[in-house]
Amino acid sequence: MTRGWGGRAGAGVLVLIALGVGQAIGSVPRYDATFEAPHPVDGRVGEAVPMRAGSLLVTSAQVGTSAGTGVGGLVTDDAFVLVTLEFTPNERDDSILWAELRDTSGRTWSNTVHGTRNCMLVPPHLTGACYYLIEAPAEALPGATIALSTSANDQRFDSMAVVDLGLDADQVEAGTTTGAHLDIPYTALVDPGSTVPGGPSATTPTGAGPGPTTSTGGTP
Amino acid sequence: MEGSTSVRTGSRTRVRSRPRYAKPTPPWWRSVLGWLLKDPVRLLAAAGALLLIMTAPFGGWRTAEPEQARVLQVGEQGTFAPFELTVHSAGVTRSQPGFVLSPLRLREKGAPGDGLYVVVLATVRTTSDLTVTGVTAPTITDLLWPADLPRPVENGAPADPDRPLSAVVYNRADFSQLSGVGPGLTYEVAFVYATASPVAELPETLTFTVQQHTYRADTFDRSTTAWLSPETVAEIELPLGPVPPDAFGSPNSEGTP
Repeated sequence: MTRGWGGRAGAGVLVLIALGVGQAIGSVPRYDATFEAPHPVDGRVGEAVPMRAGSLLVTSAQVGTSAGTGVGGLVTDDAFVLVTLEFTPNERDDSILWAELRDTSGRTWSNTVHGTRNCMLVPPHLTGACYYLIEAPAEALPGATIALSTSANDQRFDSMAVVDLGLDADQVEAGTTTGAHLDIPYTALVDPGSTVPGGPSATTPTGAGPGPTTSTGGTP
Repeated sequence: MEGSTSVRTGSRTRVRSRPRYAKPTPPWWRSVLGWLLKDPVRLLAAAGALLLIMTAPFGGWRTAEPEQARVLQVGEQGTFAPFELTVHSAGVTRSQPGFVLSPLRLREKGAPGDGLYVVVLATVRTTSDLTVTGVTAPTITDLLWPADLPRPVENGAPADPDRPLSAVVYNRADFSQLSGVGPGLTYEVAFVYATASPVAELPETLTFTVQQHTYRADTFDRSTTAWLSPETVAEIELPLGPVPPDAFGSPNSEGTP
């Protein structure tokens, strides 16, 4: 059967309508990334930060140019920042498994590049002390914050601690120009707040505790 | 009177009838057009054929030649998103003092038991404001691919020569393994590749391709963005020599078993 021009024109119009409907459907915003963004909880060094999975306390931030770990020393021409923290899970074994250092201009650094961490799972209602070591340019550290999450691979939907490290230019210079060496502490179960400089003494059932720390520099 | 012509000649009027002409033959293209318009499928096929003919001067069905990769020189800095790369030298080595931490990792990558490695020394920075880590995409280990290096043995057989051979990347300052680069940081690195070939069979010069990546949303998870889609944009030829003794600095006390 041969279709006339009228039929062809009708089919063409239908095709155009279908394309228009497809275009309209495609332009409907189907995905909004804002609803899945992590929920930031701001904090400072020495202040408890309530997170969904537990309570976080960043106890110190130290700057240096070398750091000792269990398998070898790390050195840098820039700066290492060693952030020690305590985490007390609420309801299940948990820990701080992800960190990101952020400067005031929006740049980010990860411990996975040239750094390390030793945060391990802690049973609920017990407090574990651990650390993150992150390398960054010295000029990025004054005013820097550290973002911390309990999920290593997917930080969406959950609370995220964003802690001001309280570092100023003098403290950073003191840590870098003297070539301060950062002693890496062991993982330890501790009394909450015991590793804050000036706090109660730590109980260290799994190794030598971090002990009191200073906010700048380390062991030269 | 339409269709006839009156001609008066003297006293007689002769009526000449309209001459009989054959129906004019339409031009060929009109016949072809009419034939095509009778069937939409026929019309579409003809349009496709016409397009194909029009592409003939540009190659038609011929396989397109790959774009010419840029040639990078030794010591020349190039930007290959998300990295700035300067390659210094390449060498072959067996066990090095600085490799104290590496054999297990390299053996996982298929290195022979006695350790035969090609080491490329380079300087790497990143152009990104975000740390480029190997967590979401192994970009730094895929920055340089050896094109003609004999593949190591994996599971008792040589690895597929067509599969890119990723490097294990070390920071020469302290011989720690490097999985990425943070903004504002410069690393003197060693790209280390395992090979199954005895030294005698290695060519005097190896060709490496340089990959560039694109920062984009993951195809399946639109909320995840990473440096994906490696694309070869340059190549560099490196003569193979011995690995410099100071390639990895002096092993630190904590790193030496």
